[in-house]
Amino acid sequence: MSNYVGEPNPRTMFLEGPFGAGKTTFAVETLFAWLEADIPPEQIVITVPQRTLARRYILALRSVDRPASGDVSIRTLNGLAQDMVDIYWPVVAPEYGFSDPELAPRYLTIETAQYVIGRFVDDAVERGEFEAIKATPQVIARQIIDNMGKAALMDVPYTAIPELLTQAWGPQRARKRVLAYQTAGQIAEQYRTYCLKNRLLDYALQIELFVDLLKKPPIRERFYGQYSYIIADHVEEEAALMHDLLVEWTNRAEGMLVVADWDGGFRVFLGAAPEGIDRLREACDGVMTMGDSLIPEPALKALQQEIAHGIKPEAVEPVETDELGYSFAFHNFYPQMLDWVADKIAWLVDEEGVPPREIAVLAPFLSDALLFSLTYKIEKRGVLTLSHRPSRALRDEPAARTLLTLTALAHPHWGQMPPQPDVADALAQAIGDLDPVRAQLLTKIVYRPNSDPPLTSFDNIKPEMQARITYRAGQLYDDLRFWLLEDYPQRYEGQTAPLDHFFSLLFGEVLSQAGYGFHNSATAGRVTAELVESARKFRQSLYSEGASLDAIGNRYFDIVRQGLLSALYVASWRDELADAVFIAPAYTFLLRNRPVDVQFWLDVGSTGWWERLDQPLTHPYVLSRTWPQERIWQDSDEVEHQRDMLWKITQGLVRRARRHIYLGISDLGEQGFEQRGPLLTVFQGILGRHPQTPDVDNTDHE
Amino acid sequence: MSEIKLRETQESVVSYAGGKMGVSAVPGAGKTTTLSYLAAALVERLTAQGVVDNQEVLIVTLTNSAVNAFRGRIARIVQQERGLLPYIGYRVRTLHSLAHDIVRMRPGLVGLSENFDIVDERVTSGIIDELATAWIRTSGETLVDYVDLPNAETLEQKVWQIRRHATDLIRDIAYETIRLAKDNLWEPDEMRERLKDLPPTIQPALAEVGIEMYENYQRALQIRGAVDFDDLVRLAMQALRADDEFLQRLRRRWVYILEDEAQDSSQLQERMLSLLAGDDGNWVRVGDPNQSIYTTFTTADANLLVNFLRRPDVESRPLPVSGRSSQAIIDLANRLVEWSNTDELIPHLHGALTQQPRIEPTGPDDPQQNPDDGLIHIDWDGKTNITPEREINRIVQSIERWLPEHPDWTVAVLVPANTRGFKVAEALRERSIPYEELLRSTSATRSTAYRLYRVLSYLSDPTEARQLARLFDEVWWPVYVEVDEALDDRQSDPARELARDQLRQLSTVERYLWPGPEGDWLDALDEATDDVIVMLDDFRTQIRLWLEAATLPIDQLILTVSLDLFTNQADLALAHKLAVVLKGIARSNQDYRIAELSRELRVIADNERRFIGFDEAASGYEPRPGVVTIATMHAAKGLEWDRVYLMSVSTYDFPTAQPGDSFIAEKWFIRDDLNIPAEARRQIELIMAGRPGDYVEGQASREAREAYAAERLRLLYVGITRARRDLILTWNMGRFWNRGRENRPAQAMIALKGVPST
Repeated sequence: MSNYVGEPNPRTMFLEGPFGAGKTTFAVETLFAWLEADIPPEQIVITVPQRTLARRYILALRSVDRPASGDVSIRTLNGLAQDMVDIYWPVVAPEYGFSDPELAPRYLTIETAQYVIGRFVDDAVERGEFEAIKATPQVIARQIIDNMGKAALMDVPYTAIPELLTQAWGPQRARKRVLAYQTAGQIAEQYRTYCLKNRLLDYALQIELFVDLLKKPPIRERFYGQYSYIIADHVEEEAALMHDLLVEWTNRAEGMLVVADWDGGFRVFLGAAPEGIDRLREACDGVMTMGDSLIPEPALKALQQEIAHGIKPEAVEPVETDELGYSFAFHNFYPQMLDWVADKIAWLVDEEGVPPREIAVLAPFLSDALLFSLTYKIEKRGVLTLSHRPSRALRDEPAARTLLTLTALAHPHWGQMPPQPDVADALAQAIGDLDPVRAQLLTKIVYRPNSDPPLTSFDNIKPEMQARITYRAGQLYDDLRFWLLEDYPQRYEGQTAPLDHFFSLLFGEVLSQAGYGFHNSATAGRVTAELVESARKFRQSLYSEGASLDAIGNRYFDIVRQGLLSALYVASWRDELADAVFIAPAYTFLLRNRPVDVQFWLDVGSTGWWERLDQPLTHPYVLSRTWPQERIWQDSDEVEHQRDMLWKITQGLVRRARRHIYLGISDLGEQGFEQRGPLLTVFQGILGRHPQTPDVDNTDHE
Repeated sequence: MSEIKLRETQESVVSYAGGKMGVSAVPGAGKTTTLSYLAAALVERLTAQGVVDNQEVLIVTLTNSAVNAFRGRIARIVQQERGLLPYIGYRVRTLHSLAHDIVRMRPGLVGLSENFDIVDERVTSGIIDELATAWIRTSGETLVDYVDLPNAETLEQKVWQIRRHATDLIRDIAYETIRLAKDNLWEPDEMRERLKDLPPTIQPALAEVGIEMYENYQRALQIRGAVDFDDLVRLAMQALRADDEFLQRLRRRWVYILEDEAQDSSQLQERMLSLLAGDDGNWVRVGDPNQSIYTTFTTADANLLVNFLRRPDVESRPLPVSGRSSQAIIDLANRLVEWSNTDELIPHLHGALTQQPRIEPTGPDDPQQNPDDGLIHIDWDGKTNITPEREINRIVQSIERWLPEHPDWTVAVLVPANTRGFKVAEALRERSIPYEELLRSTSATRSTAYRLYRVLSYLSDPTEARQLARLFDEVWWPVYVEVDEALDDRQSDPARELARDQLRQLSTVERYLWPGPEGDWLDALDEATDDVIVMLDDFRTQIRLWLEAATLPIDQLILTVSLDLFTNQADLALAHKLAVVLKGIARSNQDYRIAELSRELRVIADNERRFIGFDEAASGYEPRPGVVTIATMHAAKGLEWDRVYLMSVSTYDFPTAQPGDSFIAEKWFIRDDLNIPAEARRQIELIMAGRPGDYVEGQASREAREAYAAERLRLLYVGITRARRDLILTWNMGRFWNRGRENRPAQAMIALKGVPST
């Protein structure tokens, strides 16, 4: 059901509604209507807040049934900014005070930026200037970088951040916090000076430069003129700066469709300003509302209303029906809950014919232990799983650890010889046929960290041990050993290769070959690619030509080993299509934007369902354009925003379920604490109004 | 309707309507039961008012296992006796877990990120040890004025001796200062400022040491981005004060606050609960000032409860009636109270035990009648000298005679210190007398740590067949037979032995776990029956899974293993705690791998380091007839046995602060019997109170002696009141009786024997 208000044949249209109402389908059709009307594809841009949200458009554009459309652009805000900065670097660099502006800029990733700012933070921590903040230097560094990005998105100078935070903190509270804000401000200035001097461009600088460029009339004209047809999807997840651009485009575009999802705004922590969509609605010629989600069955729609009532009883009425499309199970212990989930999934797949890809298991947080246990339990029952989770340290990826250990072995002059268990672990990972027991056995025999070379050949060990380890594994080991200790050094004539080259070669020439552990392993390939990319960026962005490759390599090796670099997992399309149960944090699932038949909500008692990401040196709501200056952030603000967040998450999830939701409740959480979160309270209320018996009751009282 | 019939005084507490109430309960008065019924009644009230989704009864108690016991008990009452949903409308917490709840709600208010780390005792003690060692190395001469070292004449010699002996002392000053500062919400820089402002005539050397250690300690925590458990409470207070709306929100949520074991409440706990309750709020404090036994090494203070009970706005409803012990034991306990308040030789201990309420026996209609009088024996005749070994022998012989004749009775040997308990355990083991320990770490805690140690130990070198066999036998098999109901426990014993023996003889582990071209070791087992093959196949599946999990970070590895090994709540909770502790250790020691980390578990398993599990406190433990419990008197709190042996009731463990007594905190190389941590504490207290000039050297040491003696007297009272029918008190001369340092029977013991003290 849709409703349209506005001019007939509008040039610009605002389309809104809940998830599943058909908005993106409408947008895709609009796109093809433009293409079929012979609008040149290069004049069309689709903007999305993050790449994962462009999936529907990419698939449609690749479809063979559709007209050719190769030049349609898909951009995020950052993409638009980078395009402009790349083109106009020679214009803007001298004005901005970059040293040697005639040379190309070097882009910083989050990690390299953190590495650069790290030294300034460490000094301040050492001087005791962050006494009021109980966080590691790395966390402090991330927050300062984050603040600079937020300032750029708000279009205020980053130097204004300490004052904005101080005002929201209020005069009555501890002064030490204000001192910490000021120190953070000073560090931001030191860091910025360093970036300018070394032509380093972090996210904040890219956005700032972009905003500056847009203030120049000819460049501004050029920017807005490059696209005449615009589809802006998920504007509720965009930053205020993007809303500015889109509002301006509504005045200029020949055709424009702005699409907004109700109950969105999950990216507030990343600078989204969902309140800004009102401006866009007003700026458009017509407004179409698709008010009804086509996805959930009536029982789930009733559940959605019941949950809404539980969170905001003053705004939503409860429902009459007891058909609510959910069931729940009580467990004392966490492992019991996981067993129940796995059993239920096996039953759904085997008995009810639900395809695994139509099942999602969601939790507010997804620890490695949880993922590991759950994956194991589900796959043991013959059902495949797939997981997306937030980045974790690269060091924690077994494939990365393997590459690092082998790197250390190939560079004995770094003096970073790994301990024996690491070598055994690396061999077990690297050599396909080598199980952990044989790997340990082999390592005990061949590895001598203080010898030169540190590894001896398989040929030199006793025949009975060779038989135990197996000749095949021995051959693979010997080839690997030869590559590390002889082939590679000879090829570089005893010099050190850039580490990214080393990783690529090792992967390409040995580890990805048949018989080795990375052969046909998508995960190992992905991790290697990330390591290559990260080492290359580290080298290129932080060091100039001619710097010692040993020093760079050694330093990089250190920071990965200390866990300072994260793995950044970008989902592949093949993953998306896999027929596997999807296990993810609730936020990740929401931003993935794909409904499923059945959802499992784990840890319903966890407070994680409504907690905001709390960081003492930054603030997603205060650092936004809508927060009134000089207003103090109070507990009532906190509660209101948390309630809002709980609303958004639960409404968003139910709208992404077609048939049924299972709630897993365990009395003690994963960490052994009693679970008493607000979502549990909401369901207690629902149970009170609509009694039902649990699917399983594994609780006892003693 | 209550399933258990409460007595009148208990009903009076349960009928509480609101406001401030204090309940002074004698030992055995049914405190936990009464408090549980009170909580259930309040939950019922909230339910009737329709506010149970938004309001809760908050129960604060002392230990994790008391939390679990209360939660379960209240759940049973509300569900089975009142027909309500369990676990709803109330929340049971320790002070620290309550603080954790509060801080978690608004971490940013106190400078924390949402994923902040809490460091365990293992990490904090590591930091303090390091700081103390560094301090002694660089600043040892600061203590020169305090030492009395007859063999050291020159300054260099003295400093050398200080470096050799005084690290523990500096550590103790650090602990004392950190506890004091956190209890008073003092920040290091604030204390430093006060020091700077002192006139040059006042130079409090010990306070300076303490404050410096506190500063460095907090800095070390900050670099780890972590807080310790005491910080949690301090930060919770800060959060409540920083945002009045937040405080009001919590007051609306926790509309009734019930505090258990209030005699062991610290000043900070009192301040926090008082703040949460508000002036007009509902706050019930239950405790027994005579059982306050945690004041020496904490900031607990029984006077807080006593003063609360005296407040005009507090309604006092005592629970004086106890059905636990025989009349004779009640008389003995009451006599101890009377003696300690009247004996002219110990005026400084008058008031250590309060005289009101006295323990009263039950009335004729009481649902829980006192047992009949049994044996009361005080093993002192004024002549016989008892060596420590002899004391143990006498007790063990007594138990050996008595136990077979009393198969339905419970019995405990209560000791003042862990080390003594280990010796008793050894003696009982030698005579094959069954026993259970409630010592430094309980047997259950050590068993959990041990089982995890076994797993990790094997994973650190999977080629070791003997380790694999031990893992099978000691860890996996017991779990296997428990979860697989199809297997009969008795019948599977030979299978277990066969499987274990086969594993021991395994010369090529890989042929079993990952059979290669040479074939599967299992197929070649001729002697094995089908059930052994099935068992070994299942074991193999488990081991392979664990070996694959060994690439996980240590905390996740432990959690994963524990999910396979444990179903018991306490075990899982403990495994989590161990996981967190080991994660912290791994973070601080980047070179540690599974082998090193497994050794940390071994230390806990071997009882070398105190590690508080989740099964320790009284309420989680049920004594079993026919099995001797060995416990410290502290750990025995809340428990009862038909027969109790109270050991080592001598002047060493139960001093009366009189000349000749020796005290743990007083070091032999320190002059004038000064208690250095106590003196440091006093200096700091006076500086922070703005009265640094009032410091008189030695006064704090004397008061510390008296406070210690008073607490030991209460400990004796706790020990006595654990007995239901039989009570035997024994003593010994101490380890150094033949070196001129001979202990005597404690004065209290002599007094109880009925002989006037001399």
